[in-house]
Amino acid sequence: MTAPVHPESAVIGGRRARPDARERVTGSIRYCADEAVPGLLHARLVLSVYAHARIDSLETTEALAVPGVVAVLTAEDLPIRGKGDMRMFSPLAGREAVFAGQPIALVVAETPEAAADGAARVWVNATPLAVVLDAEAAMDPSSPLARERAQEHDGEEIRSIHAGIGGHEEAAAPALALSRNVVGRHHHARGEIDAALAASDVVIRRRYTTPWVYQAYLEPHAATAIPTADGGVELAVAAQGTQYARSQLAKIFGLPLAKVRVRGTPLGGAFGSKLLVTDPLAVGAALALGRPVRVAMTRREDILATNPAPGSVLELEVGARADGTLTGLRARLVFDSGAWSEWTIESIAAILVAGPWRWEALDIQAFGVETNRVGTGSYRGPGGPQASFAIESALDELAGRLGIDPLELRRRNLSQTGDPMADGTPWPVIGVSAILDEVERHPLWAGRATLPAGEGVGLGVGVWAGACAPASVSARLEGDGTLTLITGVVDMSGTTGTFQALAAHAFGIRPEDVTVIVADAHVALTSPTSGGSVVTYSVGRSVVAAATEARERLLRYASQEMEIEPGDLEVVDGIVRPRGAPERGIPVATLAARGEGKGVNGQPIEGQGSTETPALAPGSTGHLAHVRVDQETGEVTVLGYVLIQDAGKAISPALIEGQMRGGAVQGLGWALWEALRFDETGQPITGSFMDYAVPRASAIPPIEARIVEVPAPDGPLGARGVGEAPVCGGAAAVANAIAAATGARLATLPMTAPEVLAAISAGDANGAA
Amino acid sequence: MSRYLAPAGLEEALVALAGGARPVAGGTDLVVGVRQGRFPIPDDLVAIHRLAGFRGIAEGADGGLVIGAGTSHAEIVAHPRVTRDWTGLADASAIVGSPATRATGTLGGNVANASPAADTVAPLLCADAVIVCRSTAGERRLPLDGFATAPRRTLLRPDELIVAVELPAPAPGSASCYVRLEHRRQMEIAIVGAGALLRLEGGRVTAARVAMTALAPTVRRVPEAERILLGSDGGAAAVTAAAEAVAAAATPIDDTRASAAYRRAMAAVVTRRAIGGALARARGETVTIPASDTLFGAA
Ligand SMILES: Cc1cc2nc3c(=O)[nH]c(=O)nc-3n(C[C@H](O)[C@H](O)[C@H](O)COP(=O)(O)OP(=O)(O)OC[C@H]3O[C@@H](n4cnc5c(N)ncnc54)[C@H](O)[C@@H]3O)c2cc1C
Repeated sequence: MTAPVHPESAVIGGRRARPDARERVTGSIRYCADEAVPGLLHARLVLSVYAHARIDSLETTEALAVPGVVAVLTAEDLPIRGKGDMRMFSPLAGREAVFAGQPIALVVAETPEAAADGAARVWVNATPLAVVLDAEAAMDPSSPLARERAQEHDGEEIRSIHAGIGGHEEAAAPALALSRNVVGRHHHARGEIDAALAASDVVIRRRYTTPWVYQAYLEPHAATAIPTADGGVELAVAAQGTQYARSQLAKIFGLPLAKVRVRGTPLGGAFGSKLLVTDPLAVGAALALGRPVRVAMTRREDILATNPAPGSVLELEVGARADGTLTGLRARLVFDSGAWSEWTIESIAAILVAGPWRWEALDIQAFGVETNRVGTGSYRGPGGPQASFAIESALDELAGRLGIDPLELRRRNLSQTGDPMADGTPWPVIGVSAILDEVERHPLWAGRATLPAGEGVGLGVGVWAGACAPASVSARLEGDGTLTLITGVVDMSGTTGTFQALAAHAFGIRPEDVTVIVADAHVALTSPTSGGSVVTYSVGRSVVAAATEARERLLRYASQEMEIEPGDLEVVDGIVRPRGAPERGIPVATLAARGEGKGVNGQPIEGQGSTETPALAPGSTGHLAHVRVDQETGEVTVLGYVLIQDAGKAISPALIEGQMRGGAVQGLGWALWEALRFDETGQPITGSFMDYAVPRASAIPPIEARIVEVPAPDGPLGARGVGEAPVCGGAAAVANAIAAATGARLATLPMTAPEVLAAISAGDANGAA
Repeated sequence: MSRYLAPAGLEEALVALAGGARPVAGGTDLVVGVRQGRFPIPDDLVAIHRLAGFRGIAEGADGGLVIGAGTSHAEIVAHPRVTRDWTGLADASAIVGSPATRATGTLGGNVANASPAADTVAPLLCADAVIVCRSTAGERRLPLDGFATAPRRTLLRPDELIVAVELPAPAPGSASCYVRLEHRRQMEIAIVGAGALLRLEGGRVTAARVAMTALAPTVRRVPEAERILLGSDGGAAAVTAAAEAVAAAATPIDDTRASAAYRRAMAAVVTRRAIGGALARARGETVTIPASDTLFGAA
């Protein structure tokens, strides 16, 4: 345990558990699938067994004969009116199945068991088509297509979610003959890359690969849709963004927004996955049948049919002069988009792959390529784990070849505020320098030369460019002196606790006296989707603004009651008091009771905070992994782990550390164990937690979390988003630690024992270009 | 819909088995198998975990041990005679699944399930275990060696129950060890494993047992390796040769967890470590239980 950044009592920086911690730990929390709904029907999915096939017909007679089965719905039965080249517009395969595991039909029944029995009795007649699995080969103009596309791509929806990330000025892409499987193409170039690399004293060339990785949250996807009398629908859903779900569902089903109501249920984890996967299935079925329908995925369905992180290939060429100055970065990124490319992750990776480092010249090309695998999703820090693995491994190797300390190499080449990012955007203030200072001081780093044989310590730096969005929040003083905040932001990671602290600080009361209501999508003011580290940074500002406005109204009322100018009053620990005369104070609760929450002339003591899109505020991390490598088996044991993160301002350190530890563990999963694997016909062969290896507690060392604070100019009290950066940089730290321990350089994730053993046996040949 | 019977006495359970019911003890294999769709849930289930006299460890008159088939892995690891004299079995039971699996899963279930990766079988083979089976027709005592005939197949008849596992008294100067390789340190199917039992007398190996896990269709002994060790000094050359003999005898599978080539290479490594652990114990040195590296999840 590290020492808290701030004393226990402070509102800002105080250590408090998230408000729903007890419910979550004891398991009493009610997730979407736990809610009782009268007359509810249960749906089970019929999944494609083919990675690519033409669907000729479906035989449903046997399924319909199962007692309790109400209907077997196919694509044609769902009342979809909108058109869009996103999976949410085609939640069931129509004529063409494009990945093994794709839902083809919904069996709807009175009980989950009947639905499951029915689903096992639907027979699909299909003609297999050519399967496209190798994303690089699929780029060739002669490649078969993974999917017949109805219309050209439209990535607009997604840009709004990762607003502010990527997509600035892109360089003209060189002419290349490419197949229509290539659906994303990005190019950033600056300086003379050939000359820069030619003039380098050391050049490293490596081909890094990362597998498909599943988010592996506790609660599988679930949605319950209830048709309403006006022809609309009410949806209860485990979703990261209820307003996003509402606007998309209105488009998909051609409904006026007024007829779509969406309520978010407590999330049992999401990590970028819970965005319109089960929603259109449940709504479509409910509208088709006129009865409430729940689609709650089993773990197998969730692994096979949702939206994991894409596999990627990152070919890097990095150069440096003998004095340690970085010269050029040439990168070619190929991201497997799976059957749907809606998340354009390669565009983010194309920026993050340059790291926070200064390059004299760079040339980065990124491609998103469709294949016959499950559609890709925005797994926590999309593009970040992949990009940071490649660049941070390459820098470490470069440092080794130059004979320069890897920390020192990073220091010498760290971008300063205003230096260009890969896409030309000037770097805002970032905390990497402060993180490197902490790394340097840490005993694990300082003592790394004195470890026993077979052990090593590696460093990896992670950066997440950040996300920003406009948001509004309202605040209301209650008659008992507590403050109620209303937002539509789904609490994915404990942000409710942070809102409490921010509002309490701004208003002058205790965090426990702030109630955060997460309102339904149609009720709440403008609220962004939880994702991309947007919530604390962007919505936190509105929380402060709303609480501040309410406080001003309270002070005007108190001023009238106390006959003291509002400017001479302060609110401290729940007491309104004249500055310099605390003994004359009146508790907020007393004032609130006296006016029943109303102020001057009955004016409600309320506030509304509406803020525009703030500037980017990147988050950054430094990871130190201490490993022992068994030279006979290749097994890597992580003996120690230190994660240092710039939080801007640590409003809720306990919650930030939770994000850090969780991210570090996920990063260890990327590094050592996790991979969705597919056979040569595109069949997923890791369909359960038996085969898909998430980290076990028993293999995770204590993780030391250290927070540094480099304020973000636009952040609430200087805070930055902290959600994504912890998962960026970890795999590289482990790879670099393995290299330090054995001399073997692993360029393929996950670094399983057989791979590590092979790399050790091959000398340093593994992965070399 | 299946039927579930939970009798109090053995006779009642045996009658149910004679009528076609299938036994369930801890259910940690059976339930998972059904969930994974490996087989349908049996129509009739007879719960045996609460049968009187089915659970517990008794010392035999000859210094051996009689372990009730319903004894949990946790109970086995907690038993002082097991940890002292059948240390290899303790090594194995200590790493079965998680604390919950060990509290629920039974020795009888592990043996009856006949998984090629079942952890207790290699040390039980090294201990010359005898399986005591009962049916309404009476009792049979079968050596464990040869009891499993193929993956998930045994000599057990459908109407028979394993009631106990008998372990003869260990010879003085002998000790055993079991080592498993798996990459997440807990809750994982063995990639490979090996058990060894060695008796040292005056610096010579006078008895040797070596068995391998997840390296053949059934967990089995490797007589080639045992012959190399027998009469040797237990030195590095003999140990390496025995380990190589196990690798040569192995017929490992290729799957997502590891390739056949890796498994074969690791067969030699775990065998060397298991023999090394048994020799060290036979010399009176301490090798902690479990002998496998469990890191932060030590039992
Ligand atoms: C999470 C998890 C982790 C696991 N990890 C391991 C591991 O590390 N190593 C390992 O070896 N195993 C492991 N297992 C498998 C299992 O826990 C063990 O094999 C356990 O010993 C089985 O015992 P049980 O009583 O639960 O068997 P059950 O599931 O009750 O029965 C298994 C089979 O044996 C039959 N059976 C049970 N008892 C008898 C009897 N007395 N006579 C005749 N037939 C009987 C049943 O009919 C059934 O076919 C794991 C299982 C789980 C769920």
